[in-house]
Amino acid sequence: MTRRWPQLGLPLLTKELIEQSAQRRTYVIRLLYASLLFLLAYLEFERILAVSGSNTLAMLGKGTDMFHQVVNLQFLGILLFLPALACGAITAEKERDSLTMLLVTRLGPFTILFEKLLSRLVPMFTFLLLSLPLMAFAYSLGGVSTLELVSGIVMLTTICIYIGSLAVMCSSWCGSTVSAFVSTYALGLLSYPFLILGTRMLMAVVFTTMPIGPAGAFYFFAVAPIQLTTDSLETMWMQVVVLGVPSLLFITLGRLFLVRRAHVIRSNLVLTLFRRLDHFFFWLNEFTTGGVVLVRDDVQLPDDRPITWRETQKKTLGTTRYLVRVLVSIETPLFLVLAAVAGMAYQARLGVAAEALYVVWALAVLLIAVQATSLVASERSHQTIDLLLASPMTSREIILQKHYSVRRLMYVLGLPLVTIFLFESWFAMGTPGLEDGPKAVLTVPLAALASIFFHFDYILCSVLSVVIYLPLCSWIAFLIGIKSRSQVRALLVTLLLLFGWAFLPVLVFVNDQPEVIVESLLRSPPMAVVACLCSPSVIILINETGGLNDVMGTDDHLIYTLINFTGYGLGWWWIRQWCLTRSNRLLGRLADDDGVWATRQVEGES
Amino acid sequence: MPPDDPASLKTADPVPADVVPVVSIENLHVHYGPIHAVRGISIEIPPGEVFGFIGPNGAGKSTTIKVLATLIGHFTGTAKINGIDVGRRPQAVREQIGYMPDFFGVYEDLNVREYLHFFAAAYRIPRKQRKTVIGDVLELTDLTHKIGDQVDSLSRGMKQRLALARVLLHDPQLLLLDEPASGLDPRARIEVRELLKALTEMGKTILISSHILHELSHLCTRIGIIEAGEMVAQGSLEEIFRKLQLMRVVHVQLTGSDDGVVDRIREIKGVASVERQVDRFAIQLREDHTAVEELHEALVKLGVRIHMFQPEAMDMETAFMKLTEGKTA
Repeated sequence: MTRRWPQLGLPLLTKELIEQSAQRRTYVIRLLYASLLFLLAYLEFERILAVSGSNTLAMLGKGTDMFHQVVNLQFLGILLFLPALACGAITAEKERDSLTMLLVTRLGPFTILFEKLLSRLVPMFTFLLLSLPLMAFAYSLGGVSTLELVSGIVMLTTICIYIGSLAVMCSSWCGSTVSAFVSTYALGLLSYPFLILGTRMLMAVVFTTMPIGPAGAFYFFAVAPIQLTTDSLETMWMQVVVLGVPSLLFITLGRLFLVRRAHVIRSNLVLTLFRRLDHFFFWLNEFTTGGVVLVRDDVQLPDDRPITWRETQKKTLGTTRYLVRVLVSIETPLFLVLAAVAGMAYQARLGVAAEALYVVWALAVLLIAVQATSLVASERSHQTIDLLLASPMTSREIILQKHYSVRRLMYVLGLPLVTIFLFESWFAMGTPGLEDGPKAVLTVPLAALASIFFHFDYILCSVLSVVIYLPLCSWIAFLIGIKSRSQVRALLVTLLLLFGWAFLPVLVFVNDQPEVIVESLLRSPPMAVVACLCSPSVIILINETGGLNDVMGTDDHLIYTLINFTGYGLGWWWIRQWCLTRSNRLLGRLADDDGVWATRQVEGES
Repeated sequence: MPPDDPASLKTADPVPADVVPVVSIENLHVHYGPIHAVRGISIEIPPGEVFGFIGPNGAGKSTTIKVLATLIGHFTGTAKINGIDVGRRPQAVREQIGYMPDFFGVYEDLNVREYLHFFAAAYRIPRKQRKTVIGDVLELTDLTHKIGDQVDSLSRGMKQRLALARVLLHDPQLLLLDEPASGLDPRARIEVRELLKALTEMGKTILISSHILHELSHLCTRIGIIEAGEMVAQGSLEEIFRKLQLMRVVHVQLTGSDDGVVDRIREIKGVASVERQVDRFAIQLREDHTAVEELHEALVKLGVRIHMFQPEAMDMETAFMKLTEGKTA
């Protein structure tokens, strides 16, 4: 018998890399990543060097800040890009029904998983290589020790392996790429405290360097960007171990899931969660009231708008019952938090309210993007789109009926935002009514409503931002969804675009206070106009600072917001009209000049 | 033996001038980027006909059907349904057709009743009539007892019958059925075939595609064989056989002594060969010379006692293999 010698070959990795190299999006993403990295690094470098003026000697030693910023940017890039790149490693095979073919080859499950992981890490490492010239520039200015440089590179690589392993494990477990994507972020957040615990234990047991008290608490941020570079060899290795051990665990678990969950049935995570909640509430109702039902949850048959009917009666985020739950689950904690901070100092309570606003905005954009991108993409993935397109419904009708469910979601998500605006307006008034003690229950709502008149411009601009930005986001997401081949790609592109668009200007000013940004904008009106138009988030920032404080005059505030809303309002209208007028082509069916006319002609002929 | 005039196979006998063809395609070309998927196909289907579209995967069958279903915008040539130009008035065409794609799109969140009501609304059937119409199509497809079941829980065969129920909701004159029997088990396949026969008896015009040749030979009045986007033959099965000079095989069992009977059968006019098999004779017959009935008569005249006389269905596989070369577009 001929002995089979082990051969060093990575066929799956080779195939994956060849595939990636043949795809246009590989180069688009790389270009996008490089452009963002160099743009942001340039802005940061300029800000750091601006302090030195024209004194070249003063620039010496500034390399530390620059180096830290580059590492921070790369860390942010890893967090944003790697889960998106890696979460589809196994799920894509499951969705294509090709995983079984891989499992029956001579490649073992571990080899498959390992090569899949490598195939996702290689492009990410090439992204990391992009920062070498920037690091070299920072190093040349001095202030960065060799150990710090090495630790930065080692830590970024280790974090890549950690997040990549986590994403691939989620990909092994989940049935769909969207579930794997969400799970990666959820588990990443959940695992963070365990990483900290591991760091602490290592420090206490191995190095016996565990600081006590506030210094110990500081190490809670061991894997935060600020700890990415260190001039301590011990700290570096400790963090490598803390990230490396769970990475091995993720790979081991991923290998187990790969075989056991190779044929897992795809499930909708949100729907599963809501159904479990249903069971819990039914049980609770049975237990507390004996099963009293005030409103029967009857499902009607479709009227003359079948797509709207299905979207609002059958879809997870479309039904009234689930929309109410979404509203309650956002509104309740929000209300409690805002009520709790009402007694705090002026700046503190407004600060908390503003942060709550940013969180709710992010959540609203996320939910709307998920809903809007899936409208047509899900029909394509379920292969039902042709059935609709071969029916006599016009393309315009199909799109408008589809979009109706997003409109309902926007109404629901708009309410928490309006709640925050009312609270902020009341906060800015000095929280009148609160001093009344128990009577506050009656007087506070009246005082909050009265505050609208005192901060009318703020309320108007804020409400307009909701009225314009949410539909704008929904139509952008819808357009991307309708043009994309897969739901996953549509969702990822939409989220990257919307969050990039919203956060990029904020990242540019990351080290400045909002008030400083607004002041600097006011000093240069053309810049203010450009800033107002470059991102929707800028005007939200202006609203939150200039609208309530006296940083901006009422006229300035209104002018800048008016410029923004006009621009974005027109953008929303244009995208909506473009989608509707080109609906036939976007949906991929033949166009007719006037469908009703044509039908009448046929009836006339017959 | 190759046909004398291969070009004659590509065109069928024209539809009589006083009959408006339900489907009329002339010189249809479809491109997907650099791929020339359909190359100058021409078909005419008169009312009430079942036209079978045969070809290997990637031949252009689905693309041609999609053009008729108004789902492809970039084509050249003419495609008409009941005289209405598909390219110019697709909205009117959609009222005339029932399209069943080669996959069953599942709305997993709907049950059978909701599924049919959904499409009844999409086809603008008045609300008052929907219940009756849905009852009728469910009865026709024998799915009345499944009305409350989730669509996702149905077997593949039932899903196909439900899809047929869906395309019948608005009572279209033309049914475009793309691989309706694909992936079905034998029982489900027979059920679908019987259902299609019932629809034919109702006077529906059907354009059906398949790569299962045996399926279509039982059902179609005419067939078109397509390869690499080109129509290589069309007409009734008999016409194609005649033009290809293919022979029909007749299986015969004789009782009693068969001394010299093989030689005597060979002498019958039109018999090309006789093969002795374990329990029967397989006679290859040139039908253009002798009809099957005439062969039976001739055998009786020979004085043999016939225990079994079984003409084989037209061997479409032979015709297909003879006409195609395994090319794709």
